[in-house]
Amino acid sequence: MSLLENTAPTTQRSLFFATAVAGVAVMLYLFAVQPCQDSIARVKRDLSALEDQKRVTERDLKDSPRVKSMLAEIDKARAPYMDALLTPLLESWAMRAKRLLDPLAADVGLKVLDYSEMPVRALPVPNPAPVQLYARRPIRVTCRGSYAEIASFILRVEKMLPYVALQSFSIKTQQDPEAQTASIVFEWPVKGALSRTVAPPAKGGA
Amino acid sequence: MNALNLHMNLLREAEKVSSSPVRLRVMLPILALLLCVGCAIWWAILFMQLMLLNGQVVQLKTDLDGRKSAHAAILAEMGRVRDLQAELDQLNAYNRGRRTWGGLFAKLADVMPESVQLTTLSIPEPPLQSLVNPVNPRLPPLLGPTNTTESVTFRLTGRTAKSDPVTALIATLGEKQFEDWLVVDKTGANPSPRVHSFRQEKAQGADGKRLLAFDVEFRCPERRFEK
Repeated sequence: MSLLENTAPTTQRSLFFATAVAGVAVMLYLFAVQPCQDSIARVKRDLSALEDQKRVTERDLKDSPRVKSMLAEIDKARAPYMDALLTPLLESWAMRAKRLLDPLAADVGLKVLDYSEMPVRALPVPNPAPVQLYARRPIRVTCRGSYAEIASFILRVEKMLPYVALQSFSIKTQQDPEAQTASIVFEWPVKGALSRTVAPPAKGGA
Repeated sequence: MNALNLHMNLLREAEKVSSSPVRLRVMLPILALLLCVGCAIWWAILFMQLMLLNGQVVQLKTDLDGRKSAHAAILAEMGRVRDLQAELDQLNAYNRGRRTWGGLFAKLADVMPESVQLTTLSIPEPPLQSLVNPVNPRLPPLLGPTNTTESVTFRLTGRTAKSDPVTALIATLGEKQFEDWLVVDKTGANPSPRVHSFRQEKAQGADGKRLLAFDVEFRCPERRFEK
């Protein structure tokens, strides 16, 4: 205070003015420059993220024809399997198998006595797992005929139904060689469980 | 006369004036003003930069919004490709694990010696699957088995009057024409074919001789459920 008392009034006024103006400068820095710098840093981050997003979007859109052709190829490769999948007839897998196999058995003169469902078998799950899993559905076919007829039947099934596999087989000798009883287990690919629940499509989304 | 040499200082401290040409009372306000103006210009430049960046952000957002539906569609298609490819992998694995047997049954009739009477012919069922989680049985069961192979065997039982035809039959089944179905491996820990039994039965043949019952098992190539 004594320092100010000993200074000229003009110098005092000048010091006061300088201090006030410096204060305004500090306020400008603290409340205008620095927030603006923070905003710029934030907007730059946003811009960078948006530019990345744009790059990804452009790359994905550029890939669109390739993805479409891949989808078409996969659909084409899947189509025979989809046609070969066993589906229940009147809620019975055995009924569907009967409908498919009876004509083939009749062609070779084989008499089919019974069709019965067996426990479904899971297939190894690829990684990543698809939403829709597939499994093996075995159907036991008990039939009667000669060995040649049974062998012809199996050959015919394997030829006409190229995705049906013979899982197990058993034949026991009977007194009449023309009336052997065989138990053949054929398996079909079938739709199995879902590996996870599918989210419903987003509202308004493509 | 000695003049009195007196130097009178009648100025007060506040009235003293510096002899320096740069006066603090002038320079300080100028410097402060310059500082203030500098800050204002700095802020103005930053503000303009911010406006420009904001403009770019808005433009990018508009651009992205315009492509949003097309991008969502392509992303959905990519997800579908991944999922369908995984489905196809599983179905291909099933198909690779498929084996055909008709050829073997057809050929078997041709090579069967007349003196051999088969009583059973079987491809036994594979063991039932266990999908219990091996790490913790309390966890949900596995979606599928962890092993990708399934062993298959082919078993013949029958009767014969002499052992020679059976030996001949086994040798025939070990020939190249049957290699797609039957494995011949006499060296490994799990040899194939394996003669389970070869014993004399109480029953007699037409010629009054005692019959020999045999039970032979062949290992078959594994079913491989792999991509």
